[in-house]
This record gives sequence, structure tokens and C-alpha cells, in this order.
Amino acid sequence: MNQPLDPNLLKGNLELILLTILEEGEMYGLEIINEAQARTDGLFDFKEGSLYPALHRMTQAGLLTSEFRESDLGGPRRKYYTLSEKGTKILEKKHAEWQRFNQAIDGLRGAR
Amino acid sequence: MTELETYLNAATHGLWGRKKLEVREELEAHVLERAHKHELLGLAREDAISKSMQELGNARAINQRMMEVYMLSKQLLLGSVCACALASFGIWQMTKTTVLHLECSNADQSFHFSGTTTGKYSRLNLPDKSVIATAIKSSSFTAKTINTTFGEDPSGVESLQMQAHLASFETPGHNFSFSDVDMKTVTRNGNSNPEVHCEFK
Repeated sequence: MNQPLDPNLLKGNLELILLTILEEGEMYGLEIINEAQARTDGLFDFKEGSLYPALHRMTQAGLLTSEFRESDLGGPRRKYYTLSEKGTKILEKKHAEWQRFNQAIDGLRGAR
Repeated sequence: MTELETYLNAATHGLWGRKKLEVREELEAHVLERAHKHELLGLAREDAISKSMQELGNARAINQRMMEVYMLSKQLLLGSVCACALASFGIWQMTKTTVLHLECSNADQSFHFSGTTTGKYSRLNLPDKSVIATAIKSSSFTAKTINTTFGEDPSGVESLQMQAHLASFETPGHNFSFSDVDMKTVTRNGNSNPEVHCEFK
């Protein structure tokens, strides 16, 4: 497993990370956490407590939609999140920005 | 009260209505599902739940972030609705979200409030309470819940510091009465910060 990233780096890009994960399809909170860890070999190990406020903030902003469904474990229902149309557009925009940023950093390093 | 209930209460403190129930259910589902996995790895049920709560993080920190999400959006939404409604009545022009400093006496069990605002308003015309009450109702402010905390001094007068999500009004230079505010339910959790739910009638 990789060493976890600087938490500030994750925090600063949490929205992009969540949108990217949810691009794969609807997921509930714990599933998102597990997916982030699995797909990055443990690199994205963000604080769980920061996940739900972020999901709610993004839902409030119209980037996500949510729906409760029964859990296969019984007990309280799970809340599933899905990218909205607006969220998909924002994701595309953020990915493009991220690529430009990376290219700029590469340019800086190449200029040395 | 179980450790999990205490945790969920702290995490959802200050939220209200359906939103409070939804956040609570979502967090509970998270903790219990995590706990289930810990149990499969050999932890006792109570230990598994404790570990899951630790992994989810400090309940107060979650609560603070959740409140930022919903208080801010509520304030912005109600602030804009309020500004539109009041502008249409030609009474006030709201320039700042306000914080109310109120006193509450429950001697007659009526929970009648009075107080002043610290917010800044531009006064356009002399306000009239009946007009203001109509403005509140016409802007969908009926039965909106306010969550707040209060302390109690030895004289029995409870002092409130209530963050206003709703329109608040003042006559510049004068105090005002909130005769439209009524305590619908009072939930005392046995701690120093009981939840109080107020509603505009």
C-alpha cells in the first residue's frame, strides 16, 4: 500500500475526487471510501468524517442527486449518490483544469 | 442511551426535521456496516461499533461541517426570499444576516420572546407588526424551525443566543416583540446545550 497523500492535497481536491469516483455510477458513502482506496491502492485515504459534509454540500449545489435504499444488511437505509447533469459538466471542466495544471507543472520542470 | 445514539445525537445536533433524520440514518448505516465488517474479523459488537465511530471521526467536527452546509444554504435561501418579500412590501432592505440576542421567560408557559437584533437593516418605512407578520407568511416562513441553544440563570430567565435563519425585524432604536414565535417543542437532553425548536406560527 502507498503512503497516504498530504491530507491538504486531498482536502483541496475532494470535490474532484468524489465526482470522479461517482462517474462510475451511483454509490453510498462507505462504498465511495472503499472505492477511493481500492482504485488508488490506498493513496486516497481521506478522513471519513469529511466525506459526508462534502457529499451533502455537493448535493445542495446540484452536483449530485441522492436516494435512500434498503441495505442488504438490514437496519438503516443506505444513501446512494449519483452525478447530476450539472455535476458531469463540472467534472469535465475540473478534469480539463487539472490537466492544464499538470501540464503547466511539467512545463516548469522541463524548463529547469 | 447507547454510545452510538450519543454519537449520532452529537453529529446531528442543530439540524432539524427531515434533514436531521436523513443525516442520522446515513451516519448510522455507515457505522453499523463498518462495525459488521469488524465483527466478521472477530471484534465484539460493542467494540466494533466503537471502532467504527472512531474511524468515522469526531462527531462534533462532522456536526460543525454539516451545520456549515445547511445553515449557510438556509441563510442564503431564506435571506434572498426574505429580501424579495420585504422589498415587495416596501418595508425593509436587508443588508446583513443577523444574529438575534433574545430573552425567553417561561413563567407562564407561553415562551414569549422579546429582544433586539444586532443585524444591520436599512429602514425604508416605519414597520408595522401585522404587515411584517403578513410578509413572513407570504414568504413561506410559516412553521419554519429554528434550532438554538440556551442556558439558564438562577432567576429562571433563560437567555438565548439564536442564529436566525428567518427574517428578523427591528424598529430602529426600539426593541421588538416576537409575538409570532412560539415554542413548539422543547427537548432537553440533560446536557448544558439542550435543543430547542421554535416555530413561527
